[in-house]
Amino acid sequence: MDKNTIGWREWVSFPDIGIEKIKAKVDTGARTSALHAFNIEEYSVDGQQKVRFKLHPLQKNNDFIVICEANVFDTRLVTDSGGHCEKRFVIETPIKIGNNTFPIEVTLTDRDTMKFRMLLGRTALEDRFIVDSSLSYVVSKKYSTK
Amino acid sequence: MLSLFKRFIIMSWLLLGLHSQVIAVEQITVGWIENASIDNSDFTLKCKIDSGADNSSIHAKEVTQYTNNGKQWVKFALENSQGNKTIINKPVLKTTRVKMKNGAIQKRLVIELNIALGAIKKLTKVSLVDRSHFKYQLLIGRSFLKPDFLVDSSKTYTIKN
Repeated sequence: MDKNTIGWREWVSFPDIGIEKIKAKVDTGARTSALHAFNIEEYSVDGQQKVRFKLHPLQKNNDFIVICEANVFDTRLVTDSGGHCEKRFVIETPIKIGNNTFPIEVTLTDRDTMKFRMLLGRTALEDRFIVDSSLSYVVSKKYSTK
Repeated sequence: MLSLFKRFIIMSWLLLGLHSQVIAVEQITVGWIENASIDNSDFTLKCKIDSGADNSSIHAKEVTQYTNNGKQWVKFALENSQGNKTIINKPVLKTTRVKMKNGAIQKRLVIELNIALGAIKKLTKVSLVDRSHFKYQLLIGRSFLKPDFLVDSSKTYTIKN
């Protein structure tokens, strides 16, 4: 497969869970991808473990909230770069980056010190994208964050 | 008919245009783990290539600050996974305060260091940190990578020394 070049910041979307646009930091230093969610609640429908969470997809707009629901794909212990271990829900959902739509695993974290609400890690990039650190918004239009 | 002067202007413009194409940046693709040579020497460190980090940082041991001719200097040791050790002395460029993910503020000394990744060597700003609980002693951030390197996160050790 031909690899596309993307920048270190890109606007992406998650069509199946109602996230129309969110700015992602493309992070070759992280293995898994993460979404900064809050009010993460676990529930169950007909034996299917599900998770409901909220997020502010726009960095500078904390009034705008998207409420998402997804099946729990996995529960994982994740160690962050500070060496802290945390239990996190993992969802699997299609992500749209430029003209590419493909399923990725995303961990949900309520760490509120994250500047970016979305980190795109290596497992999502593999075999699809090459990262150019000198560029931003290569495959996506730059939106206003207000 | 064009005057000689006009011809000269057009010719130089064409030549300059051609020249700028020739010197256009040729980018090298690297994996997300590589071996980098440090400080113009044979000493290499395994490094993580991190498009998510603004700047580069290095795990420095035995850090001692001192004054030399009225300037702040720092002496520190680097040790790689093969057990080789090197001592480095550098002037302190600045001290930065970094907000950690747990909210705590950490003071870091910043120096300039020559780092070579494959055929490209650059003088780059590196902060001295305690990376003892990390797997990779050198983290290479965007300020080093741009505009010369592309990162392919499906690959490791693509550079043959």
